[in-house]
Amino acid sequence: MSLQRVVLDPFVNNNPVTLQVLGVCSALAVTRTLLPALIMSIAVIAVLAYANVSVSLIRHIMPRSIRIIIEVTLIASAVIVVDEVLKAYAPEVSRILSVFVGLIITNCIVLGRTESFAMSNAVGPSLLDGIGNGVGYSLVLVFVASCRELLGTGALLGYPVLLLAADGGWYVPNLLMTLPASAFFVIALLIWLVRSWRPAQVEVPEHPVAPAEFQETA
Amino acid sequence: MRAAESTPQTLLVALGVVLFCSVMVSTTVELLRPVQLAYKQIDRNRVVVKVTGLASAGEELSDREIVDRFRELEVRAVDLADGRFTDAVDPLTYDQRAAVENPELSVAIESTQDIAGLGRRARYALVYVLSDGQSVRRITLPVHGRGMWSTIYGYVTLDGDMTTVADIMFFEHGETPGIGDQIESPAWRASWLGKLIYDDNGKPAIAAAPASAAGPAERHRVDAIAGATLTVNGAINAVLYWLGEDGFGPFLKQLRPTHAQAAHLPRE
Repeated sequence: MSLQRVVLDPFVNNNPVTLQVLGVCSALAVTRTLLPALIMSIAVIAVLAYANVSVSLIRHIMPRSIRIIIEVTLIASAVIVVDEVLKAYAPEVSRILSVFVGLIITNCIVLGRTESFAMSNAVGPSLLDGIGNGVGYSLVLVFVASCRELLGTGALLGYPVLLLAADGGWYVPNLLMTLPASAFFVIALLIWLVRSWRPAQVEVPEHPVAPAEFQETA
Repeated sequence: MRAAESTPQTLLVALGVVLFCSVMVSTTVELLRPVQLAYKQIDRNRVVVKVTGLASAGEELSDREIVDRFRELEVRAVDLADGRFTDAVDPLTYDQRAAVENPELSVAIESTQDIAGLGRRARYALVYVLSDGQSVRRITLPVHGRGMWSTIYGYVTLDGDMTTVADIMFFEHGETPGIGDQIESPAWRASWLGKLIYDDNGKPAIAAAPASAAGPAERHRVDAIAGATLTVNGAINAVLYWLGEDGFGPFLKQLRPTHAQAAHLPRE
């Protein structure tokens, strides 16, 4: 696989959220407005890149029996560092993100990439794979957050875009968009869009429903 | 068996990774602490500016505005034993939480007095005075006490009569999210506004009860929060303790205006 594909594939063709449906729970929680989603994106990209590089570096001396523990330790300490940096330099956003920064540790995308890619690839490709998957996750996060903030509050990054009816404009904000459930709808619509555009991503149903058989009851 | 699978190698790799990670984490925390503390200071002053009524409701203030408005307040240290202003500590650098750990700057609280469950308290406390020339318009007092899980920190602002609650804010705690943390909610704060701290005998008399309950007089009653009784009691006990005889009681007594006369700052 060429290095270019390593970075670009996770954007659409092999997107961790829309294709693999990983990391959805944080995508629900931090996408109410755009700013926290952007900060969260940067945090996940940083953690993914760091985790992939560090696991790839020690992949030859890594004992198989404790590899998951070691991976999680590396990821967890990276997440703590990111959390502390946010608390110092973006305290307000850090308060909005609250536990979800810490929960990057449990984001399946991170452990998934270290296990499936960094364990068996050199440092360079692992770094690119981390960044690529981080950006793929971020694209979804930013898309969902833009939809929700725009439709839910009529603003983007806090700047009014749609003139609100309350301020004499025409737009009545859809309050459903400010609730976590709406992220489900937006992600589902996004997956639908992507899979209509790239039909190869549509999964074959594992358990096809058999046609109903009419049975004569005696 | 590959060399990587042997027990010594496993232990060595584990030890190496753990050492590396712990050094990385503790270095970051140590390097960033000054920045976080500085922000915490601004953050606390932001609460003070809001609770003293120097910011209108819902107004978002930049760090610069916080500093500017905070300077309209007079920050003084009070010796809690005699209730007089003191210059024993510098109000700008004094840290009341650190002082509790220092035996010279703190005293043990008698267990009969210790309704807030604190054990020790600092000898000196900071107060924030908003005055127009001579008379005190409002005064803001820090309070804290044990809640259900954590220590609850807050500020109470009293009007010039030194008994009417002008505002109250609990800004730091580790109470149950969604239940105990309603002590931060605007609705609960609103139930304090205009209530009288002291009864006719000069004792703090705030109590929590549902609106319809026969119990405390309406002028001393604040809302109860369903499911958060221990947290609410903790918050109220913090106020009762700090505004009582062992806390700011003596200090406020001196400030209290006699009849229609405005409060004057006592001289040290």
